Amino acid sequence: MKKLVIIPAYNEAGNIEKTVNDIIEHAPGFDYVIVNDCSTDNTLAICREKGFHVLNLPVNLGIGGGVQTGYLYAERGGYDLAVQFDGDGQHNAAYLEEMAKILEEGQLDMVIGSRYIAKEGFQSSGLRRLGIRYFTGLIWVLTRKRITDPTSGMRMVNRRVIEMFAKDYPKDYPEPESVTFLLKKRLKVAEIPVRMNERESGVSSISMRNSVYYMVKVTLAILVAMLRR
Amino acid sequence: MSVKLQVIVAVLILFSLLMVGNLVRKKRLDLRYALIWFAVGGVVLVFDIFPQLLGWMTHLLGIELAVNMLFFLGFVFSLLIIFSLTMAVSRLSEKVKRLSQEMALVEEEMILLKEKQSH
Repeated sequence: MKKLVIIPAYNEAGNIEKTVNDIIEHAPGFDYVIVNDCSTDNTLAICREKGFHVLNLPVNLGIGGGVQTGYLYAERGGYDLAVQFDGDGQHNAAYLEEMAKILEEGQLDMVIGSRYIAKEGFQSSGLRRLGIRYFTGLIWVLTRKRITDPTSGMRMVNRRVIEMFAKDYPKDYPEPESVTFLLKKRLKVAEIPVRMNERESGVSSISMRNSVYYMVKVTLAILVAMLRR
Repeated sequence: MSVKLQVIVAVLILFSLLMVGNLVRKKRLDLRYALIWFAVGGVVLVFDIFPQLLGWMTHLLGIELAVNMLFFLGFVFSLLIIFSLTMAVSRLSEKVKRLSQEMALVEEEMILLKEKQSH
């Protein structure tokens, strides 16, 4: 069973070393690969210096294109399982083995690490939670499945979904859209409760300024995902 | 419209079409994007040679002034061209994405190979 952790990283010089060490220490059964999305800080220099395994994108593709590079790598490397794991220190590698076990035993297609089942750890700001709950509601109305944390970037998938994502993955804000598409295809998606940490440095990809664009774009993307085959 | 003006317009259009054709020949303009410009030139040329056609269409659509029909047609063509451009941009961005991803994967393989060789 080959397992891969995909770490998308854009300007994560302050977090990347800790993230990789966390995986090496707490998820020893996993290979990892960092996707450096053309960072403008010295993320790449740190990775090379420490001998981290890194895929270096020559131009900035955004989170979707970056993560997809990891899925392409997983597909070609013959991995049976791949998990996205943020390079900003928000995720805890201690959950990865448990997620893999649930994915395997339940014969699931995707397992999401959710902040909103046990409601422990960093819960994000009130406004963001409201946005996330809106997406939970929208996905429930469309698919009758309840995903408590559709925007979670901590997601583990099996071989079948690796191949799907390698072929086709949304460009920006990919999480809610791709989950909806899997549910629409009647693939099995489950969530487990996880604790996340507040990011220590760097900035989130979603700021107040573009949150309206985010809500509109993702809503449309979810609706389009329901119409796709 | 006087015959003199008709001839001047026709010459201008033919000259423009030749220029577009020349750009295609020199590979500075892709033929697939030149097609819509040829279409625009062709339609304008038809209206130039048969001015009564515009009057007839104006009447048919219930537009009062022929010049408004002209504006309407121009607007429709502009939208068509802009739309074809957004399609082209989408196609290109998809290709750029794939190329960058492939490049990252190849570079990683190359580094691994080099490391193997140096051992």
